[in-house]
Amino acid sequence: MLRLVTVPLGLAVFLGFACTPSGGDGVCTQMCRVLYQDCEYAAYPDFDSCLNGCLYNIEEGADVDTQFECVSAAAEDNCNLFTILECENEYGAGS
Amino acid sequence: MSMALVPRLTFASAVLAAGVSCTPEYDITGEPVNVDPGQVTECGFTPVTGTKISEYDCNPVFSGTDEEWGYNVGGVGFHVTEVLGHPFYQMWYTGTPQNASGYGNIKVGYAVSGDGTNWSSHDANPLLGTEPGQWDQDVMQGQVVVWDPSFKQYVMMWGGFTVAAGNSGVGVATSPDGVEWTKNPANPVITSDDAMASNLSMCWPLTMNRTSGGFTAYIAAIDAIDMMLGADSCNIYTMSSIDLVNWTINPSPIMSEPFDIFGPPPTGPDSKGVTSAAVVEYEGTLYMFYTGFTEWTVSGSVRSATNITVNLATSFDGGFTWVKDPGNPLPINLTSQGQVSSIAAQVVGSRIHLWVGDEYADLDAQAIGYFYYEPDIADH
Repeated sequence: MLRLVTVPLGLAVFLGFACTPSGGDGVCTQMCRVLYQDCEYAAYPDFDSCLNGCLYNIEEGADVDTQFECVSAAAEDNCNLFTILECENEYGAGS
Repeated sequence: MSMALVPRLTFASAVLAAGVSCTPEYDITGEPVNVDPGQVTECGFTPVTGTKISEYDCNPVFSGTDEEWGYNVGGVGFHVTEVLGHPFYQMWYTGTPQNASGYGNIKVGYAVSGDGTNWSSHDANPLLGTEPGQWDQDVMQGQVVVWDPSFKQYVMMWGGFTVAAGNSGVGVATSPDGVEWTKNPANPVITSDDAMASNLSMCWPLTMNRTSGGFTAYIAAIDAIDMMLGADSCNIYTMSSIDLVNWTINPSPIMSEPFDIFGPPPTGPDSKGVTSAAVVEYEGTLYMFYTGFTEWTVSGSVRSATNITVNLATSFDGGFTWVKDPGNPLPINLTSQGQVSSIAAQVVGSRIHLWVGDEYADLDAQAIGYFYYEPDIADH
């Protein structure tokens, strides 16, 4: 019994780490959920396109963690696009 | 035995499953995103035969708003901000109330769009405008907005004048967010007297670009001496500044032949000059889309440009020399009379997006059409 219980727990921990997006991937996934799925901005033809743009921005030096905080706050404000544009200006690849 | 085997099989299966489920479902290209505008708009784009231009099938994309202060929309300045590599469109537009008459009472509003066709106006509109007693109390026109990454602020430039005094000038304002604008206390930063000091009679400002060394603005003006000899073409001149207040005007025009009083009059679709322009850089080449005109219409003390068409010139040396496109005028005006009012351009990926103000007969009003130009392709 003890052996049977221990192994599934280990598996759960392993799988938990293995499947949690890490670093930029994680933030990008969350940010694209907000921009593409929640706010449904037409600028993104699909989810993957948003992810690619985000990951490219990381390569270009964007502060996506802080940008995500900014975007999340704007999303809670009725997906305020005016604010989201300023999030990019403040923290994005060109900032 | 069976109890010991089960977890091993489960473990192996789980690892396999994890390997599959945790494989990213997207491709990381390592390249900037290059969205085809037709992928995100309700209508498609149709190539314009003989050009590198495609036209939005459901033009116009902007003809006005329901805002009381801005029922009649005038000039429109466009800007693009890419959020995670995808373009969002911004415009600052002038408007007047429905029953406005005479001069003045011109305000500026701000709107944004995720696809360049559906626009949302800002609740705080109007943001700025003409003010009685100021140098630009009667007219505010030709506004253009650029983003200055050095100071993290938008910069707006416009042309204005007071009709009775006959004064004209160029004003600038800055904003950290596109909403709260501060007019520069030194406005007008260029006056008709400043232009005259460079031996120019200013017609109107055309556009402005942020450059590595500051700002470059393009104005339309007439050489003052040539004007006394009969010249009346508003040619393109450049001026530069590092602080938006102190500008240096280059007294030599670009793209125009020296005036010859004994020679034949200028010909071509910009024989009387240029009314608006947009300059963008793509792959090291400067592209100037401009509206040229061939006739003046006089009404009282005011002259207006007529028979206006869209044209293109390119520069391969940073703007020192320009070559006019042999296909000028570009066949994207709606009417044979040429009632194009403005043009704006922004580079997005491999395309130059264009917004052209024109007269739409079914609306009986000026409105904005949406196009894009593909520098890398052969003509359609």
